[in-house]
Amino acid sequence: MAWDKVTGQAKFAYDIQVSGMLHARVLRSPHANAKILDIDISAAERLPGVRAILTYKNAGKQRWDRQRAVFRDYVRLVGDEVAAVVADTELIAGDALQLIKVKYEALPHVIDLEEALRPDAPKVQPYGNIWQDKPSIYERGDIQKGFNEAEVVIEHTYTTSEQHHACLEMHGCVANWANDQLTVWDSTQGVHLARDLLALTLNLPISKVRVINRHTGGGFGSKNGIKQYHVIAAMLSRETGRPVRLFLNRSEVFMVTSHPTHRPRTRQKIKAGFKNGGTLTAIDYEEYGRGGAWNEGNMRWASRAGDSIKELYKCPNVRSTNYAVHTNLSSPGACRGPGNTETLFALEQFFDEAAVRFNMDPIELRLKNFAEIHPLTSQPYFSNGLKESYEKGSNAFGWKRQKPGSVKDGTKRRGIGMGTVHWHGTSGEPSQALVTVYPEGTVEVNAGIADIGVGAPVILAQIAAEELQVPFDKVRVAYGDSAGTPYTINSSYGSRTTSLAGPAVRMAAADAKQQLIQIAAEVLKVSPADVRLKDGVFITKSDPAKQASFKEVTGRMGWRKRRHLVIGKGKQVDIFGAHFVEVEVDTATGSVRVLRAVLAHDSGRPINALTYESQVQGGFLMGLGMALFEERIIDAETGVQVNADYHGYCCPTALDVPDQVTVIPIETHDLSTNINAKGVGEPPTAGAGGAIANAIYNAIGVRIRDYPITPSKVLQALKAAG
Amino acid sequence: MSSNDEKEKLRISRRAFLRTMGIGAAASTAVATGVLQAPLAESAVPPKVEGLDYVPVELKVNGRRYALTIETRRSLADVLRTELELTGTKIGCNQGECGACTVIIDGRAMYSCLLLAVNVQGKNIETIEGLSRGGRLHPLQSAFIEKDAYQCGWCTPGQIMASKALLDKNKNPTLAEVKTAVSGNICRCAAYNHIFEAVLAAAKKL
Repeated sequence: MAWDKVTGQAKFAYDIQVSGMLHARVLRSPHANAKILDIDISAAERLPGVRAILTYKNAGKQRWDRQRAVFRDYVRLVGDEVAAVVADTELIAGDALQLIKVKYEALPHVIDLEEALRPDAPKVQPYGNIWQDKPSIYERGDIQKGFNEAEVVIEHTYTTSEQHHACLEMHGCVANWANDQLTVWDSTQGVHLARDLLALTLNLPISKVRVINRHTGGGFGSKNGIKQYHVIAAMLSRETGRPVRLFLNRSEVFMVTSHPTHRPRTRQKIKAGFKNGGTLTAIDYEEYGRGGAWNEGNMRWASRAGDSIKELYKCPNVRSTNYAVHTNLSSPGACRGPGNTETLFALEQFFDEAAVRFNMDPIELRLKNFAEIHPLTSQPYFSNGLKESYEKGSNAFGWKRQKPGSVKDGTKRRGIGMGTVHWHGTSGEPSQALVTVYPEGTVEVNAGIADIGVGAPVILAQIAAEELQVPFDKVRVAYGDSAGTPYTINSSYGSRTTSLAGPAVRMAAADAKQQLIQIAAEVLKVSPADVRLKDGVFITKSDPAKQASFKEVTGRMGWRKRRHLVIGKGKQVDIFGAHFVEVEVDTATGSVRVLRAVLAHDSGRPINALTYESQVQGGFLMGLGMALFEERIIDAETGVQVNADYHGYCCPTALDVPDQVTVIPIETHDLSTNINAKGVGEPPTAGAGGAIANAIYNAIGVRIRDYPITPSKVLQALKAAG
Repeated sequence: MSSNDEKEKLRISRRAFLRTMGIGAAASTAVATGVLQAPLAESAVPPKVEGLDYVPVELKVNGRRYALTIETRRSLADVLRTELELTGTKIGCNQGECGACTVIIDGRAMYSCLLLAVNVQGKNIETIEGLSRGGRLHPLQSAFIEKDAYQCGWCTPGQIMASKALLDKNKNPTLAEVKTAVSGNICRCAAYNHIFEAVLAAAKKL
């Protein structure tokens, strides 16, 4: 894997060239809401090289979901699919798009979250602009009683921005619908989920759909399942009888990604009651998330925030009220640590504000409200390394309270801040893996996972190697093809690939090991109970001198016993951590630089120290981007994203990396799985914002509650504070 | 040429220009009018598109010469990937922003998506595929593996080529020089710390 990636040999879906392949492009709506009065494709059809064009007039009834067909005579957002062209080359398909004439009748639309909430706003859905016409509400204890008991009540409102996944490999696939078999080379986070949803949407048996993917050029939540482009590519392949390649361009990726697209914009109000000593008595939380135009399941991502309000701190009386708000945009989707990231950006700044109010160290206030048992389930944790994260993280950082605005050098101010990391890992679904031991003593792991960049194939090889006690390089992992792998994971989301697939691999390897011990017992002429595998050698327990080598045993097994299918199950776990950062704010320009960061993460047992560090560093930087500059900027007049490119939408570059980033693994012994690992992909992103915002406050003595904390917001805040 | 054809051609080139600015730009012009007034076509003549002229081109890539006939409008990144099947050069934006398509041209790291293939004839073009021979890796490639200096791997060839352009000229770079050299290469997985470590480690071995 590693070799492929550094030599340029790695084949991603974007690189796939199939014999006879045609190229497709999609014509998208320039309007945020419109009726299509007419489409004329006659000029485009005459362009040499054009093979087929689909519009609502000729595309038949192929549905996208229950609500809508793939091609319709109306559009609800800028970027909605209007027509698709397939041609001999991508450039010709692009030329043809320019020749399609569409007559629209523009209708009223609403883009801004606050505007959509006004009573006179255009209604995006017949029932109004609150998804399903009601909020989702969670309540425990007695919120009024909690506030009555409170001696101090603090209330603040925070907003978070629309972060985009902005993965480097653009979204798309190559679809080949030949005879009754559909094969798709897809840039996906999970071949099995993509396959199942393609079968469902196209009304095909699952056995007739195959999804292949060797490597994925980034996903971060945006490449789970299928999008409209998958269905369009399949339709065009069926239409032409040829393989069809359909990849979005960069601005399409930013604007629609073929919905869902991005992390939602949120407005969160946190009102909390405390005793004088800082003990929580009540939290009342209200969140509004900007959603999209369609009444679809993805709207839930707009009202997903709040889990950390309910689960992170001990508080008997909690209410969370969440509204997903329709606007004429694409729906939000899962983006690295969905829900918790938005929540923690707000909650961890709120806790810092409360600590200032109580004149307490922020860690002390958090420890005061530490949850000994899970606040939702009232059950003990499988493991909880939060206290250790605070302790080891603050020691490594050299944490010592400093007065806001006290560290100055000319126009520059320095500040420190910390924040808690919280995420829940594995969902308890069954996972399957296959471990095959070959007579030559090598091992093959068969796992239905995708390589999205977290090093999962390497980690699974390590787990099998450890269980079977063979050298790592004797293990090969086969993955990335729905036709050749069991259902290990439907898709890599929720920081659960290691904690879900790992146990299944370990159980399959243990099963194989048990069968090898049987063979070894025959070789050694002892009972199987008397044999153990140690350092790659089968040893007789009663007579340790009687041994058989690994290869000696595998060489005896022939071809009959070589496949082992085992089903393992995971459980829900909680992942904790603490981030400590130091920032420098230039009061002349408003620019913020993160100088150093200490990132302590309790993820159970880190299977691979190197990839673990990569995940924590990378996740933190993605959170740093969201805290300081990342934001989809949508023009409310037109519904057009004005920064739909990497120049306008700024991702962290090499120059934004703090001079010092220290990753501290907090090794807890998590008993929820047989590998003791909890997952680490998402939590580092969630923990970045609060710590950085708190450090900015500590540097300049002014709070900025509206992310991203851009230079202009810093300057405005300084000016307002005088 | 009838005036209809003239109009058709004019319209395409204007749209083709807008296209390069993404759907956003096209949209902002359309929305102002409310109802789009684009006329429906009457002409039966196939429309003409600019940039469709095919020309012979000779490229020198990784020391090997390739003779091709291609459309003048095609970028070097596109030709490397689809004509020469050198897909190690990645495309992450196709508009000169992300650096995934970085190749070395006459010693300089350049974005190959911004160059027309017809304009780089006679120049020495190095791609990621030229770095290893017979299974022997370039020290940069080994160092990237050793330090886990990639995650998804999409930006990796570009990062390595940008770093190679630096090390070819500067055998002993500082951390700041390494950061500057790869600052035009976005890594969304943000493997930056490990990339810096890998480049500095490779420099020691060169």
